[in-house]
Amino acid sequence: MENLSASYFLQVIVNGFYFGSWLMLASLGLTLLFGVAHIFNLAHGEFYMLGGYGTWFFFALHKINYWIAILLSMFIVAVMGIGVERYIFRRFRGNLLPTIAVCSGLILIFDNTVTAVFGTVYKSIPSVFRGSLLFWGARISIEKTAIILASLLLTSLAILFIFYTKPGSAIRAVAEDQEGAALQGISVNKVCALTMVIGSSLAAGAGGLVGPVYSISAEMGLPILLKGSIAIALGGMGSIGGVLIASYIIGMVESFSATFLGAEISSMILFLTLMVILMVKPTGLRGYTSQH
Amino acid sequence: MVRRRFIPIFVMFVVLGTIQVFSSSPAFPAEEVKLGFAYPISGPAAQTGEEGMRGGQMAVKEINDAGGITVGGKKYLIKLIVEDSEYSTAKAVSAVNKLIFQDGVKWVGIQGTPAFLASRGVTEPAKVILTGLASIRDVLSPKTPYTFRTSVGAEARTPIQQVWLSENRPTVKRIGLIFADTQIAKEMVETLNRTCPKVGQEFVATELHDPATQDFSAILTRTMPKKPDGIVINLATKGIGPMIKQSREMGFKGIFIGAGVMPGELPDLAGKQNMEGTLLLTPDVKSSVTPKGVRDFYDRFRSKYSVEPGESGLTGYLDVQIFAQTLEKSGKVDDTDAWKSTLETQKFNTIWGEVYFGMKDFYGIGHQIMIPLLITEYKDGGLRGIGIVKPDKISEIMARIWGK
Repeated sequence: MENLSASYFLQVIVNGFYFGSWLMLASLGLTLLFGVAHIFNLAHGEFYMLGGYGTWFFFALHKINYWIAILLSMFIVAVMGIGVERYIFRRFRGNLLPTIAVCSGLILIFDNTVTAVFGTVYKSIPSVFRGSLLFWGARISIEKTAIILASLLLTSLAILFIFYTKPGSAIRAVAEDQEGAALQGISVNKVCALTMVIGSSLAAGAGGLVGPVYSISAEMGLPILLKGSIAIALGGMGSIGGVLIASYIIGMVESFSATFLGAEISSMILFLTLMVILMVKPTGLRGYTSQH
Repeated sequence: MVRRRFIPIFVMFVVLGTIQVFSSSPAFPAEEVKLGFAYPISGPAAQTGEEGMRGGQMAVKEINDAGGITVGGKKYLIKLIVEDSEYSTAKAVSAVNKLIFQDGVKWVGIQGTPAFLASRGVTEPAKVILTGLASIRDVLSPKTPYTFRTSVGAEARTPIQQVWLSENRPTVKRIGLIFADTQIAKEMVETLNRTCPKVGQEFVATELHDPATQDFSAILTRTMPKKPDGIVINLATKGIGPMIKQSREMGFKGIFIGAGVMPGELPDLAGKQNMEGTLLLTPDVKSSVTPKGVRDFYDRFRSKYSVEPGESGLTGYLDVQIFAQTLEKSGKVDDTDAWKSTLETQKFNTIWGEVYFGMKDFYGIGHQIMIPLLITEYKDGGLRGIGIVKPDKISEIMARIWGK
């Protein structure tokens, strides 16, 4: 190991914090949908990818303001999410195998449609914020700083909505006990649709935010699905607090292991971390055993 | 009555015959000769694959529109069959198998080093000519007599760039390598280890990454403290745009030294301002340093497809030119031994000017195309030609660095 200065460590921490922030935003919808509708949405990465393409389309191609482009993409993907929930997921709520099958189909449909419309050439969103911040020897681009702040803001808004509004209470009620919530007059279907709106739009927002940092391609959804799945397994399936903590754990583990041991080993370290935690607490960090 | 019935039929045949005589299409269409391309039209190298395919298609159209090729006194049109190799070795082999055994192709153009290496296992036993774009020197060998390379490999490009840097940018002393972990990477490390000390440079950092990597935080965190003045990068991998962007964000102020084929979209992916000063071997089509044939090709390609062709577009076009002239010079449409002999002994008029295959001393077989290398710099939002290294100088540098 080289360069074990404080600024080097700080750089690694900053890298991990950035990664954890956008993973948190990208994964929140995945855990919400599982917790509320008992759907493990394997096509979640596609919403992230569509958000990236949407932002590219509106901002890079049509020169609409960057933030408005992201919001537009989130809105469009949310509408698509409603359609997917209403006409596809609702039939298979709680059934794992059919859900996996239809999600696989959705992935193929979205990937091929995007490739047919936009081509195979990777797209890039021009940098919105130039330059970087330097503090105590560690450096972070202003772009990544904006992503961290936007991720924290959107996640906070989502959490405030879920915990401090009436529709949010309905979401929590359905997540706790679907039958009980239905008996109380809460429309489970509407709550699931609302959850899908929140989840898919947050994923799209994450895809749009990282557009200026990474390339936009039809394949960009799969890595986020894999990392998001690890995050919700680690945090506890359906637990919002769990996925927030897990995202930052994953961010730090990846950053430290990739920097000090190499990227090829960091994936292995990540899975080892997951295994160790699940062996100690099988339901995840904030998961709980329930009739669901 | 009979005569009246026959008159309209007779008139009809006269009219049809007249149309046929004055028609631009021949009464009987020219026969076809087939050329196959196994290019990565999808997957991580789709950009370069598509450019190469378009270059080949453009060449075929131009030749066919001009009447095709003449072999043994007979006219032939070229039929280009393109299969997608998806930048996967297995898919490339499958594509080449289809081209040879289903489509009856006897000449295959291929792109990508892994695909090139793997496909020889199919083309050599079948005595099919294999040409194309590949980066490592192992693609050529006396054991693969039907294989020819129509691009210049990293074993020549990298020493040429480093020699040029040492002579023209002497402050660039500390060289780092951030490269996709592929077969080419090992050769790049060996080449830089050999070249840098001989030209007064220090090879300070080696970082190999998964070709699919988009986030380079960890790699750059390790590399930046070593203070490289120049970083050698693999232009053909999908993460190259983000890598260049993120390097600048992490404070790298030196120059990028581009290895491999630059996709035309790279400045948009990386950000033009981030690419300032990047050293490339991609033609500057506005510079008189670039051969006129290459400049004209770029103009036609851009006019037809509204994008830059990149070097793979050039290679695709070149492959078709060489194919066409080989058949014409050999006088054979399906004799690959005659084609091989022609390729080894003849010169060809191409967009690069007159070219030939050589460098038997270095590779053990004279199947390396001898074309000039153009040194360009990415400056002020575009390419600027700053030098040309002719084939004899390339041989001289190779001998200096590799001792052969």
